[in-house]
Amino acid sequence: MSKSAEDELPVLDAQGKSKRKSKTKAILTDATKCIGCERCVQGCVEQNDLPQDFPAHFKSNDGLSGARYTSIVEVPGKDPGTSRFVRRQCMHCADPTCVAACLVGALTKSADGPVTYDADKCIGCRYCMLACPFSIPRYEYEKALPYIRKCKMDETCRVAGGAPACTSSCPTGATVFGLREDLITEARRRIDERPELYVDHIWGEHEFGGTSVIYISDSSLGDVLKIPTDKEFAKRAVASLTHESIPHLVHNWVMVTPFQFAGGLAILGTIAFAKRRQRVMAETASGKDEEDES
Amino acid sequence: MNEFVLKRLKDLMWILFLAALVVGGSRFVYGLGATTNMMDALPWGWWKVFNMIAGAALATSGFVIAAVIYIFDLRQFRSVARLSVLVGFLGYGASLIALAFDVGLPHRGWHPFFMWNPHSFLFEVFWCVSLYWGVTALELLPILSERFPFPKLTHVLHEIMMPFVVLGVTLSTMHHSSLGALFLASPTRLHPLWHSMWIPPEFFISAMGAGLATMVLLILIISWLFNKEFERVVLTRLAAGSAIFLSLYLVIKVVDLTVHNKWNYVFGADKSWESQVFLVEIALQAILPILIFSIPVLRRSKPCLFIGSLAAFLGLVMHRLDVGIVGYFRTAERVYIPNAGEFILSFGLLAGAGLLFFFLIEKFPVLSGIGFGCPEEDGHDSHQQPKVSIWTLQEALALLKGPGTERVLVIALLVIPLANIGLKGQGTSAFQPILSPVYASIQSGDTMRENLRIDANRNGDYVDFGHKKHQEVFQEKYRLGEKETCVKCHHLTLPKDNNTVCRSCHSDMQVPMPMFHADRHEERFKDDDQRASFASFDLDRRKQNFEACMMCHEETMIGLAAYAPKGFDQMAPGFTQAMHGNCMTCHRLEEKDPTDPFSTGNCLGCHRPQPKPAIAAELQPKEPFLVPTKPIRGPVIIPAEKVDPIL
Ligand code: SF4
Ligand code: SF4
Ligand code: SF4
Repeated sequence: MSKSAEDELPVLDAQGKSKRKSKTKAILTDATKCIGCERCVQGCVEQNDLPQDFPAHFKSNDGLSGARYTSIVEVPGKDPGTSRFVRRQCMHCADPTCVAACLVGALTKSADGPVTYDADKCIGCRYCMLACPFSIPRYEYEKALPYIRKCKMDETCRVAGGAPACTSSCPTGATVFGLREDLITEARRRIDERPELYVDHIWGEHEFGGTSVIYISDSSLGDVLKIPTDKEFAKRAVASLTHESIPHLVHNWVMVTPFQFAGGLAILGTIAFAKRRQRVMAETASGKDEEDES
Repeated sequence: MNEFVLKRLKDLMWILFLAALVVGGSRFVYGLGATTNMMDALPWGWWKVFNMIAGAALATSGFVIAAVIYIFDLRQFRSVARLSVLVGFLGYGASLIALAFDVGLPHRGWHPFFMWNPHSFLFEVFWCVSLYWGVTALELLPILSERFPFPKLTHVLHEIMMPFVVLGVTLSTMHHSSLGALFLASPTRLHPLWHSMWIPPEFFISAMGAGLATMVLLILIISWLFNKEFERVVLTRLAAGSAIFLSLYLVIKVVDLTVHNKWNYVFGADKSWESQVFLVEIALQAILPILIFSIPVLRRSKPCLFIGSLAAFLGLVMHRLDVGIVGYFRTAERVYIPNAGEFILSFGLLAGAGLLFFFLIEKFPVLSGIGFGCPEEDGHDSHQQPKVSIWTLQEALALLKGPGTERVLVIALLVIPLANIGLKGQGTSAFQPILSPVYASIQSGDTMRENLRIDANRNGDYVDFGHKKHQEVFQEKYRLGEKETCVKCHHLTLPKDNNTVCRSCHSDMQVPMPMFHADRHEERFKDDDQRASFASFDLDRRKQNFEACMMCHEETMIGLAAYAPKGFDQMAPGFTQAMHGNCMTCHRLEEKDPTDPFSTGNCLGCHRPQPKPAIAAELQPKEPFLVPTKPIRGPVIIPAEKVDPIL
């Protein structure tokens, strides 16, 4: 929380100078550099004091669980017989669906990037899990009183030097921490430098309104990260999600609610009142008439 | 005949309800993981989607009828007014109680009243549903006040009813569309057939159609069970109303699919099993009921009405399940099927609501319009006793003394197995003792790995290996640091090591396999020059192979130079040899004494004949180590072959 510590954060900067506009922190993961040693996972486990991760029917195949905030997923590489390792973690969306979804506001987006979870508010409805487009939040199904678990990327993660335990444990620099702007520049630089290696795409730069965790790779990561291509978005009739966030997409429906309430009350109330008067007048005038269908 | 059915039905409901209490209790003791099949990939299960989302839709009748009678002043529906409000009240009550079991921390159920996130559709649903529930309870108050001698209260309630009805109807329209809007958040996870930006109105309109159809179904069943006739015009009007809403829904859905260009998911290139499900759903939910309800001849025949309203009922349940659960299967890459316990709790709570329903309509002036229960007005003194005995607590106790004792006993006896099924459906059977090559010490929580029970091919024939003892002997014998002694056996640490089983390199049980992946290595070359010069080597030739490595790994290779020419392109041995090699490399070299039990050729030294030596008491598992019946992650399927005792 201390401002001064944050200002001193070492920032991975391609040009060696920083023109900081936004303070949003981010993580860049370069799948071509990852050797799959899972040291990031180890770092995270130690830093956050996570328990043993035993397999269970309610856990997914991607390694994330109530006991793991990050994981390494092995996917087939560009050439047959090769593989790539992709780190999975919360994407820390710029406009997160989970934050919009949580009915008690247990999830919040901090100004400097991380999406954090307040366990004291959560009621365990698991709507955040359903709403997250990347299906990141996990649940402690094994406990009688369970909580949501997901990557935090906040102060509690940061080790000496200001970066989270995961990125500072990486031996190859495949995953690095810094200001989002700088990391995007750096990712662009890497792609431009070796266009024959990288796919010309930064996953997380624009999709779903942009995320704080971004990826570059030499083969498509869309499937493992659950980020559809522009075409797939269009096919699902939500083409705008290539640059727009889900909360923004559905915002109109949220705005309808108060009008629905006021309008409903007004219209129904008027009808009810009018009908009642009609009836009272009719009743005083004469008897009542019943219609019948025969 | 009907009384007989009614009695049995109530027995069944009691059984289900009591079993549900047991199962529900177990959920709070063992947690959701052990008692349900819900999972990370599909976090919303049967309780939420069936009990809450479908249940709310089916209880819609409460507000539609209230609107029709009190607001639009169509008096001919009066006879079912209270029935519909009661259905709304009980339906929502059962749903809310099911939710208490479903959410992780139900004791915080009050949080949303104080911690606001108005951007959340669930927040809106929560507020509307709980307010609406309160309003239905208020709407029901006259029933109680008429039953007991509070004429003044009754009068006041009748006077102030109107604003509450207006409020209730408004809240209802809001939360039905919000229940649909919950799924707006999954444009990329929900199957395109069910996700649409138009879900909110679709949910709202289909809920009204199906709610009216459910009312018809309920009236038919009640009039059959209690031998009471409702005015036919009520039934036909309700059915006609339902047909209007369902047609509207059908039109919206068709326009939705057309506008958003999604017909290819139904009939075109992207057809899948979801298309079939979708077609069945639409046929049940809309087409069949619309046909029956809109043809006057069919509408007037009771069996047809029954079929039509049943179809609409099932169709709506199916639609909600598809949107809330089935539509997620494809992207979740998992399939969720509720287990017995989830069903028992779900239906048990509904059965409880049903019992309360029977109690209320028999004892209170709910159906007084058709002369059932109490008369509606001026009848506080002369309410007739219901003909069918119903089980209040008193009556239940009375039964224990009277001829009903057997019945209570039978019910109790039936509850036990049912509760048992519910309890077994999960937890216990979902987990099995661990199947790892090395398991005794892992089970016992022995982090020092004092004793390992090794069953490499997992066929039950294991070898007990004194891990700690070997460590000690090594340190004594070789005077090496603890680290170096480990390397004697632990020969390789691969990336993703906790997922790497021996068999990922030693992939064949018998035959040596090549394990150096030149291709994978090549990816890491700095530039094309390097790649080109590496490619110029003929890797099948031993000498060249070595030189290729020397390109980069000079330091390492120098040390290996003497060794490399004969060994560097070695194959990894087969699995059996490798496992045996772990022990026999040393035991053969160093302990050639034939009397030594661990010496070469003495298979029985390690592979003890059955029965196997008991594990020392301190190594016995302290508690069962839980793993699922199905392999979860990167399963290694090893054929159950016998250990080959010959090296
Ligand atoms: S990735 Fe999911 S959990 Fe993380 S911030 Fe985005 S929506 Fe929330
Ligand atoms: S599970 Fe907790 S954090 Fe997630 S949406 Fe529900 S209340 Fe919010
Ligand atoms: S940011 Fe923190 S919580 Fe997330 S993976 Fe890294 S160490 Fe773990």
